Amino acid sequence: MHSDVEHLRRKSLQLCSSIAARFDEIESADYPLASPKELIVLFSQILSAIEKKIRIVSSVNELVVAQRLLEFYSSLFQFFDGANIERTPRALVKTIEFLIKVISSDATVLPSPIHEYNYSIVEIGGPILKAVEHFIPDIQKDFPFKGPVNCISFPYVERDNILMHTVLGHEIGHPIADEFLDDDEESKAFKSKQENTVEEIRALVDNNSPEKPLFAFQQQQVCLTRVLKIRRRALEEIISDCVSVMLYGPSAMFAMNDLLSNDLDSPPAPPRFYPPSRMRLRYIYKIMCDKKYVDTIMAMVDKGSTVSLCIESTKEFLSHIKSITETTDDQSAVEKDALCKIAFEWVILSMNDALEFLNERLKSVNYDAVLISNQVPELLMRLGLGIPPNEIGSPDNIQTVDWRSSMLAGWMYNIAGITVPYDSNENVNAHHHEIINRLTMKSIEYSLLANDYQTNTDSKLEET
Amino acid sequence: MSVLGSQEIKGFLNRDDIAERLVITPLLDSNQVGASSVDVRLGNEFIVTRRGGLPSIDPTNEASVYHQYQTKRHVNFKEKFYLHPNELVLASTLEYIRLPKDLTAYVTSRSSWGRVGLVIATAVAIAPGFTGCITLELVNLGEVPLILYPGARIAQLVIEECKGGSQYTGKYSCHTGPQYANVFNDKDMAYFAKKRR
Repeated sequence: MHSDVEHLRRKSLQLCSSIAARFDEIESADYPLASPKELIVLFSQILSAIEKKIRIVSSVNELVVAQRLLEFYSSLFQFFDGANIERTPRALVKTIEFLIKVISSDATVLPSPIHEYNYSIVEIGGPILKAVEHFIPDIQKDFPFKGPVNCISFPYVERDNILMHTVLGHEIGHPIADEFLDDDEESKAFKSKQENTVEEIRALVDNNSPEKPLFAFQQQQVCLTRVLKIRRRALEEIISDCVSVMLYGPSAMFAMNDLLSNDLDSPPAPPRFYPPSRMRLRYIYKIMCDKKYVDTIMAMVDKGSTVSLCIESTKEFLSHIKSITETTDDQSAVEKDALCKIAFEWVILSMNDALEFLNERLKSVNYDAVLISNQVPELLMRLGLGIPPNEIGSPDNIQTVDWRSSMLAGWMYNIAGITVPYDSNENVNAHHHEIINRLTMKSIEYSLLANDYQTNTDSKLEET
Repeated sequence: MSVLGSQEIKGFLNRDDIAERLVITPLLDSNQVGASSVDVRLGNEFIVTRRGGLPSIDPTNEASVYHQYQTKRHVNFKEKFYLHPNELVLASTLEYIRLPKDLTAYVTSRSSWGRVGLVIATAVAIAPGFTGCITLELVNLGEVPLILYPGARIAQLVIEECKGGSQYTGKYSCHTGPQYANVFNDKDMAYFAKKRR
């Protein structure tokens, strides 16, 4: 005898069993961090709670809700599939974890490659809780992750391109941008500016349709929503860009330039309303100047052939980016649309507060410009000899460098377009680019290991 | 040529010109430099045999792609790698090494590991000018599985002076982990393997 309830129950239990089998598969993999296995344990517990509930509920509606919940859970596999150690470089994972923990000590991070060419960050802790809170009321109090659970995705094809991974600084910046914007939107200054904006929009709409007041009011609301959307999106992106440069130093600008420079002046367009890339580069370059990265690189001098080639090429590259930011075609494009113009005038005002906020928020983890002149020249020399850029000095006086200096050395060497090991008679090709990435990746692993080894062996000695 | 003692090794490690220096990085503990050798550690990457559809390895047959036969595994620090009796795996030194043109070296087992059945390397010579992590061929000749930990001091580098050496630019240069066998690339293999009519 057919029963909708029993049919749905069987279907849901089958899905539970399939999801459990997939969890078993992914749990058997090795991961560079503890977080994937911790999440899998949590998901398995939630899954068995759902399964128990499915066995006892008697309404079709509840079973439909359970089915949806299971479908939501199966969508989370995308974040685990590639998170294993074979497909996610350890150096990448450790650096992201380091930065995220400094910014938010209770955050959990799960980096994984995706097939789409996109870098992104998705917080899954909140949606997981929200999805199950009605179905499993006790979940909130037993939920083991107190902070955000950030799934950070990067393009699978760029897995070994460690230089491009500095783009992830931008993704790390998104929660920080949200933090600023959520506070900002509650402030008196925001509310007062919004009132002014409403007036500006009213004048604009009245001029266009003075004879239809009701229609005009509706139009004002639509326009205000649009202005707020354009402003928020622009600030989200620009603030995240600034975070990436503050965290990673000049490497972030080089990577962001690679992503942004193909289309510099397109104004914001639905559905995503991204700000023009040239404007983003302008703020990125401003941080480069504010943090003294530009001055430091411009003041670098070296007579050794490899190092000097790298320094001179980087100087030229910086000048090129400066010239991009000095052109104002993006502003002209924005000003063609009255609402964009209003939104971006507001963006410029808000950025002063945003930068003040970022300087305070990131002061303990900023990349220090002094490291560029102190560490990078010798690291470039090492790369020129085919040695990972992880330390400076000789074994009698060795100094493990900041891994961000290693990344910068990798970028500067890459910009110079020379072979590694350096050979003036040979032309550079993709293989050399691969070696630069490989050596940079290794140097990051070495730096992290050396610091950890030093800390742990020192504390062990103190204990004994 | 004589084997370098600890003072001479330190002398080469501290040469002023990095291009002429013996580079071993990271040298986590200065005690790794022993009386006449340098202890080197086990890296995180292993190349293990896949039980697949490849019947044999024929160095003349480029279709015998090594990916069909071997696969890479990464093991974190503080985690275990089990090496079973009679199993061959490729690993590498944790340390990245650059020999100047006037040094050559060979890698050999540490006696403490040798006594539990671990053979470290069968191809031991390292050319002057070599740059990279050294691939180790690990075999467990004992009766029971051995647990290996990445980072453990597993082998030693014995270094000698070399006269008339040149910069190594071979197929194993600048690698940061163990390398697959590259027997297919030997130029004269076709000559020796091809039957004449």
